[in-house]
Amino acid sequence: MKLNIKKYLYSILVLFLFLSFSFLAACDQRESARQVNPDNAPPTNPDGGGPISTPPDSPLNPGDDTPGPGGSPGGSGGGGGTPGDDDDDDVVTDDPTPPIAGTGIIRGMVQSSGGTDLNGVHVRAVNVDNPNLQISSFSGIDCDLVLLDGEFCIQNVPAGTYRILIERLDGSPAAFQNNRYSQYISSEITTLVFPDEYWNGANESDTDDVMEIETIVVTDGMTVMDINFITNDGS
Amino acid sequence: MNIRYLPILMIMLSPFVAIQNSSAYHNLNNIFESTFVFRSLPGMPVNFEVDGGTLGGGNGLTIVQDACDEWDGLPNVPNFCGNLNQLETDITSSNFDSIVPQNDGVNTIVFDENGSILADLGVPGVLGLGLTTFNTASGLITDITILINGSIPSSASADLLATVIHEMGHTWGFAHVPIGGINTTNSVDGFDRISPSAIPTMYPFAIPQDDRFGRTLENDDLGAALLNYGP
Repeated sequence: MKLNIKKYLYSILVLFLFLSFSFLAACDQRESARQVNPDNAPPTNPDGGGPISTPPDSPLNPGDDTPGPGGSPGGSGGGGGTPGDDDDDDVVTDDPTPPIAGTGIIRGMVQSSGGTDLNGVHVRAVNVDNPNLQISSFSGIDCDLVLLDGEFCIQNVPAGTYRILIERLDGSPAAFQNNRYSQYISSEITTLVFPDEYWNGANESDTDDVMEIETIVVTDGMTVMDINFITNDGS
Repeated sequence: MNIRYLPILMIMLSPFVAIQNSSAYHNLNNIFESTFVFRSLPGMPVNFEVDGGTLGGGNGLTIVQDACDEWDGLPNVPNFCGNLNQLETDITSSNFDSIVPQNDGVNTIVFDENGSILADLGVPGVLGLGLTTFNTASGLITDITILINGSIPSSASADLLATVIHEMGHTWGFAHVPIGGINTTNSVDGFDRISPSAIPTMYPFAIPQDDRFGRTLENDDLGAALLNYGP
């Protein structure tokens, strides 16, 4: 169970809990509940076809088109492909070293058009050959798991070709209902409004085409750096 | 005032104050001099005491074992589950507090067959609940309690096995991830929507198209496990 309150209210509550429950000083208990789908957020069609009102009646085979965890590291669904045509804006290094063979790291920053570092932006890597192979992180935390404004780091990315996109987590109060996101994101999430957007390489700017895509190639043991976004927030 | 600095102020008041922070696929529980500490298991595998009652009218132990098998099948991470010892007692709202005391170091999986325990805990109607007690300085988990709501019949709309796997993930220290049916809230379709079968099990809701897809862990779930417990 997560606290469904705005960031300042959360802090006040934490302070209240601290003052009121000092006997729990050396430990803390957290809850995380799984819920039925909320009425205020109808499920949407992953193919972009609009809301789906009810699940299908017929049983489905969960394994039929699932990449599966067992095959993911080492490049299931990836491995192939070529880098973007003129992809000279992302720098590949071998530092830090990914822990799992066959995987790499993607890192970069998210900023507003006004140059403000944005935290709590969901950054997704989507494998070009297998779009169901997706792995994500949030901006605001770097590869060492240290708070760093605007930075993101997606680790353990199976080798392959990826498109990278950012998406806004709603900063409205509704976003904090139903325990939808973690408390960290609830407290740090940017309220800036901007459209989803793909990384487009060197042309990234506040006026770019959000559908323009430049792919990147993740290779074993390497870090793809400088996947930097400037949101189309219009400011 | 940036919200980030308030926890730091509170740490000055007490070195043990607890602040939870989380990222996409792992929980980060403590901020100390701007450095996050993982909330993670102190050792693996984890032994569980399992409710002696039924779950959804059936054998809950089998479901728990299947959930353990799914987590333990992940590559490059140690097994999460150890011994599953089923109690003789059916844990109910009347004996929950005595059988499952807070932070006793015994990890317990409770089959809340009529949903009354979850209601007593203030979260009626949820499919499941994972509670972890952890040391706020080290981030190490000291106690796990998982409650599964047996009053909601297992179906394609809400699958019990998927729920157990999901709640186990929380108790390993993993947070929710928004890859799935609701990527951006506002019910606005995002780019690159994922197949329902590939929605991570740590997605916060029952998978709307068929919750049985939640029975299999996906790449983002694996990423969480690798980040916390990989080599």
